Amino acid sequence: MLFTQFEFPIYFLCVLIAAWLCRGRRTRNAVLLIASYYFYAYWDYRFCSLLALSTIVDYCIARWMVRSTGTRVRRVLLLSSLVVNLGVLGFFKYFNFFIDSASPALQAIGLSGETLDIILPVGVSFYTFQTLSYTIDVYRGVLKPVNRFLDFALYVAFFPQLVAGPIVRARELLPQLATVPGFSKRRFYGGGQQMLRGLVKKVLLADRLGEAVDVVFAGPDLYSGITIWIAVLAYAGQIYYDFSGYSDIAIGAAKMLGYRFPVNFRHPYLSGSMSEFWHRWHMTLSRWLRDYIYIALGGSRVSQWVTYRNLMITMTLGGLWHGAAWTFVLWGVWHGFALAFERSFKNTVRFRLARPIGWLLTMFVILAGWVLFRSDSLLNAAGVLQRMVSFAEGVNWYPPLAIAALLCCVIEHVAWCTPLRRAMRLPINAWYSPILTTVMIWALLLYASRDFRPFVYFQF
Amino acid sequence: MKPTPVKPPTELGSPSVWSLLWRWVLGAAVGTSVIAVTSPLFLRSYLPLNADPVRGVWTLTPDSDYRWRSEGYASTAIGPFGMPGKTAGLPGTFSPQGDQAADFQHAQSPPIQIALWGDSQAEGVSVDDADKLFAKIETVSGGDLNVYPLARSGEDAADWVTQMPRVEEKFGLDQHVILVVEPADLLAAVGAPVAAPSVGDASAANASLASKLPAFVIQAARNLLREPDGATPRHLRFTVGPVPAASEQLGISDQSAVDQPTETSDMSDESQSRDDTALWVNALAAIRNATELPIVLLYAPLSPHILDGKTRWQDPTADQFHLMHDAAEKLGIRVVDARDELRDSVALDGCWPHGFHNGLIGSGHLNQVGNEILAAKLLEALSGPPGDSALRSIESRD
Repeated sequence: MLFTQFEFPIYFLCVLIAAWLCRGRRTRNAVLLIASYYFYAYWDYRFCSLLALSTIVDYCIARWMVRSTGTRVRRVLLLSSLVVNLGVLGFFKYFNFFIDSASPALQAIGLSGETLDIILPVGVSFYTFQTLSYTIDVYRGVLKPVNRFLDFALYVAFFPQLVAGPIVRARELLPQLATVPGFSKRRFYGGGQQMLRGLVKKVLLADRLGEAVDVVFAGPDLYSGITIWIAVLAYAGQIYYDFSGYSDIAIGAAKMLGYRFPVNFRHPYLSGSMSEFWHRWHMTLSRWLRDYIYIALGGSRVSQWVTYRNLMITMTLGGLWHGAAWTFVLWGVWHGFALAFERSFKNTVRFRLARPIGWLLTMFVILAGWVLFRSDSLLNAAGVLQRMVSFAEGVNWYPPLAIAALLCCVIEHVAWCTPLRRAMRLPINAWYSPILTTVMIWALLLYASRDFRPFVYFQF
Repeated sequence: MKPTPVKPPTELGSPSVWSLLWRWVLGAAVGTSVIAVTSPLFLRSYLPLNADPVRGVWTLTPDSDYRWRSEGYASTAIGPFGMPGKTAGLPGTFSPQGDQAADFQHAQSPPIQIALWGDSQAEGVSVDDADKLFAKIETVSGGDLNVYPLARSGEDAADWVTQMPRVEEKFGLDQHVILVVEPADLLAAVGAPVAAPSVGDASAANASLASKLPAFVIQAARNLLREPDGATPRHLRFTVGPVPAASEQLGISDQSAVDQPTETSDMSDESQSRDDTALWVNALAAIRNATELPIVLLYAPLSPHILDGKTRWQDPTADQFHLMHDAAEKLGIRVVDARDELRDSVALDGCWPHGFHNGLIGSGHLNQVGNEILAAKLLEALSGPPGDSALRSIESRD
């Protein structure tokens, strides 16, 4: 089920009522677990088995891990968890990619190299990272394994974050699931407002921007350099408002149910550097990559060159996590290179760039990265970049709705930098809150794109 | 002195729940007013419909303004008989009832009276009145033609053939011009009702709603209760997935849907071709029989267009066009083909004759450029030799 489907408000209302009517922790968690599995089965019930498999394996391994004292056994158990989780992820997400990529080599040694007709289970990348973080934390001794299977199963399958994050750590959510949250009107209202904000971001901004993006990226050779620049800017807006809109709905829904999720975005396009960008963009993923890959590789407590290598490896894997295509890998490499370059620049040069210059450079790097991210192939990406740089001639098309949506994005970012930031949360006591809330609800009903557009991050 | 007890604030920090509730009710009313005031900038209008006794159909109410806010941003003044944009030179408060319609036809009598038929492409609500096809034809003709824009969105030949005899009697028409964008629209003429369509149909419900509710309420209800196509009632699904594909639901495999029998394919093609030809002859005969006046089919398909990021120069309905052309020739209906002019506009000038739809340029309704091209092409054809049709051209009239 998608947050933007008409069925979701009815489903969510039922879940809200049922959850708040439950007195006991066990009943409440059981209700939420059933609701979460239904949420997932709404797309395809068959893949609930994968979710259950991942849950059972990691629950058992963590329990076993805590009982065993030998380092070797613990390591084998961790390895088993990695093999199962990454095996599932690898098969469903990367099998065809690797077969495709290795096809010439396979054919050379007489193998067919045929791909399989595999459906990518929705959210597999997200819940795999969640369960992995649990097992690794237990292995590292920073987290005690949970006794109650119900709590753990709910942690893995909890519907607001199940299919596209935010990637919530076990140590953040499991303690919350161990008790019945107290009802807070303020939090309930705040959650509702955040959900509404998320819907506005997704439906009114991201989807409108997406219309222009799809058209231009379907055949970039047709359009002029200026039109392509508009499309790339629109894509930057689309992917941000799409994903941050989703995160807002997820965080808001959890808040209305009485749970806290970590923040996932803090206006990343205001960043003055690439490292700042990754502190503001998909924050739950970047801290996962930092804690479980970058630091595991040695982080920055090693020589400069090894640090650069660690950055490159981390970001390349981050790129690969997003999708099974060379464009995503190259996007990761590009960001890794930019981060390494920035670090080396800071290490060697004594002066600091003025923030506006840093912002401009950062935006260029990010936009070039989005071209790779959005393009179907490396050839297409090269073509788009070439047309952007050369301001190539072609059809000059200024999509009015996308330009209007882009303007709204700029205004929203500027407002966030001013004291209006707090007002934008629409506090319940503020006189303008009811007016703006009503306007937003009407706007959703009136100005939503009629074409159905799933969330961009669902494909990951 | 004893301190005054302070009332503890509620959890939300507001004085009371009732004042908060009151504030929200008031705020909701103000918010709705904001939408009511600003929505005309962004939303199309919903006009009450008028049962036109002359045409025998529901039309937009005369003397009202119709807003279009999609790929175009235009307001259309609705003239007598629900004609979009046709108000110049006509009595301002004209209500086409009974004998008044007859008076109207004699009030203005330009040299040649033409009825323009078609669907939303000919209706042209996405461009200003001066840029609509009928207006462009009148302008390009220098006043030699008076065009009655009788096209309505969603109509096809079944609607046109029933209205043709009724309007030509009242308007004193000299000829009919049908803008053909999708040739299949003409096929509907076969089996069209002989009698005029009843005005007591389901459109009455729309007419009633539009007169009672503001446009933004209708639009919101439409978005909420209808599927994206705007016509199918919205159905909610609460069963688990996966949802079978349409072909699976019908119990046919994709392969069987694609595969065609090969042994008798040549015979089938031949017989299919014969059937198609007969179909086209029947359809155009139905149109031909609806009137004794000359008929011109102005062919302007959605071409060129962009598909999968590439400009497609080929006419997507070229096969249909050939059948239509052959049938028209047999029946003395003139066909004016504007494809080359539409194509040249893009290829030579980079000007797209169609606006945008879903963010894609060249896939929407005819824009100012497109209407200009078609008007010029039509005038050129009408000024030229009439060919095998019984067309009365401007030259012969002069």
